[in-house]
Amino acid sequence: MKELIQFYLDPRNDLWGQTITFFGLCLIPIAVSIVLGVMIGILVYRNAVLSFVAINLSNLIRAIPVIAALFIFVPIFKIGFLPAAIALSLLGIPPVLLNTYVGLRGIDPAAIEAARGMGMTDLQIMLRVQAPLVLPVLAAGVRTCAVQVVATAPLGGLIGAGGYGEYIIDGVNRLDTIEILAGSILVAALAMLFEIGLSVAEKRLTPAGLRVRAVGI
Amino acid sequence: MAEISFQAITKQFGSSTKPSVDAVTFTVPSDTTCMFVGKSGAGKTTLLRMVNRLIEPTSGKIVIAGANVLEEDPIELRRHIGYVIQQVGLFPHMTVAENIRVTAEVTGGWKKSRLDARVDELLDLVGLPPSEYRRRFPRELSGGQQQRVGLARALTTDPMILLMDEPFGALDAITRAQMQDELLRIQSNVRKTILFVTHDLEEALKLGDLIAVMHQGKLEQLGAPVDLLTHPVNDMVARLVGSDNILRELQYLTAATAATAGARGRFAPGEALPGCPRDASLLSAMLKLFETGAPALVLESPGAGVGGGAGGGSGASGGGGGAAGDYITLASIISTLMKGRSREGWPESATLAASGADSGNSGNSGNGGNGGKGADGLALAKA
Repeated sequence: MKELIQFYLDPRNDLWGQTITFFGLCLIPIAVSIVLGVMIGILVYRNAVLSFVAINLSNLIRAIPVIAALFIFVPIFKIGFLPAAIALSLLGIPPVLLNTYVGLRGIDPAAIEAARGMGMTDLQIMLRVQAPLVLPVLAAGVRTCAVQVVATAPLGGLIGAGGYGEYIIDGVNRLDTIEILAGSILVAALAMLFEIGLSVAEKRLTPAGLRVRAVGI
Repeated sequence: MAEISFQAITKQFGSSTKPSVDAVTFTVPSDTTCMFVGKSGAGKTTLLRMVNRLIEPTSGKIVIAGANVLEEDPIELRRHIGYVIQQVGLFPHMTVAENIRVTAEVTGGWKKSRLDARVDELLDLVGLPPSEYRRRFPRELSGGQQQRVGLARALTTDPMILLMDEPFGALDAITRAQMQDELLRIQSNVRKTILFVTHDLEEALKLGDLIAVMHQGKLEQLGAPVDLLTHPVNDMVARLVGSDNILRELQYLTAATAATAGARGRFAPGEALPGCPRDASLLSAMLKLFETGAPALVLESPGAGVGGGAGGGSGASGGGGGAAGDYITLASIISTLMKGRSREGWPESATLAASGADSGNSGNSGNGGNGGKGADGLALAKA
């Protein structure tokens, strides 16, 4: 325990810098996944062919082993932060995309019909009807995406992306258990933090009307 | 005042060879309820959805209160037309109150306090106590209650026109009948021009001031329910409305249509005869004849005090006052039913019996009630 604290405090280990790098390595791909996943989801959900392609492609991407994804971009972008961030973004998109699609498809068409019939503009339909109904489903997708990205980000250390992964990889290479432990604890803690925080957010985002149990009268 | 006029309105969907709505022209007067009936695929819903431009017509015009809706902004147009659909389509994430408010919020220009009052007013109107239902969510409501909220929501901005697409089609029979009664009550309060799609003919006869019969995209007949029952223009309409359905005629024709004057002499002067309101259905008049065993009923003139069965002979002389038809007898009811039924498919003997009954009324076939068989002379029984 003492050695662990010493490791963290040792300026040579640059805990602060690695933390910033690691957060960047997680948050940037998560943000990219959310933006792209939601955008693609919205673009394809009305078209049977496009959604078929998008969903199957998503499932294919999910099937790619994380390690493979990480190394795919190395020939193009060399090693470092960029290829890792791109690979993580690619991994993060499918859960967001799928949940956006499922959420949008799950909205009762009658509600949209009623909204159009009362004279809502497309923007009003999106903001007042679709967004509140999709948000809880989307939040679940974002949670999956975030946890997956955080859990995978340490592998970035393999291609020199920096962050906590570097501690782990370096520790393994040098058989330094303290260093391995130092990295692992931080990664595990961060993954759990994301999971808990996003679960709470997900519950918060679920409208009260969807939470109540149906009562037949 | 919102008269709706369809002028050669046509809709042809890209993929089909035949137009779904084919050059339909008719006018629905202000503040009336017009029912669109016909088989599925007859073009009823397409016609309805062209009014608020959820479907764009291929050609033709729809004129509301003098303005062609096809030249207006569709969003703005829809905000001034109430729209109720079978699946209701309440927003599940909003409370009942929010669901009703949203129509006005989208339209804009409503003060919050005014809107709060309006929500309560509408919930009262549709028979849901505001204090109990305001905060509920759609999931906590039964189907009938949901559609009440759907109706309230369509009325929020007090539109002149209400479009209803099989609004009660998904409800059970009892709830549906209740909702129909509610709609009649609400319509008598708020007076809207209502276009109402249904495939339930009983519903059309019960709710409609006018019925538009659609078939394969064309308007077959437009008329009051009584018109359709008594003067169907062709076999298709006759079959659809079941104008050979005696029970239906008994239900929807008024007692006044079977009025006869000739019976007067056949009863002892001063004999007490039960009374019958002019707008009661023939069915209720007939049942009363059976129940009381009286040879005839005295038609009570409108406005005169309705004293139930105790009208008596004095009531007859007082209320009758020389009007063309004062009495209803079984024979006069039968002769009314037989009118226009002498055409195809009716057993000879029945026709004979009918004319026999008619002549039994000492040649009074020219009197007001029977002679005035033209639809304008008939009123619809809405008991």
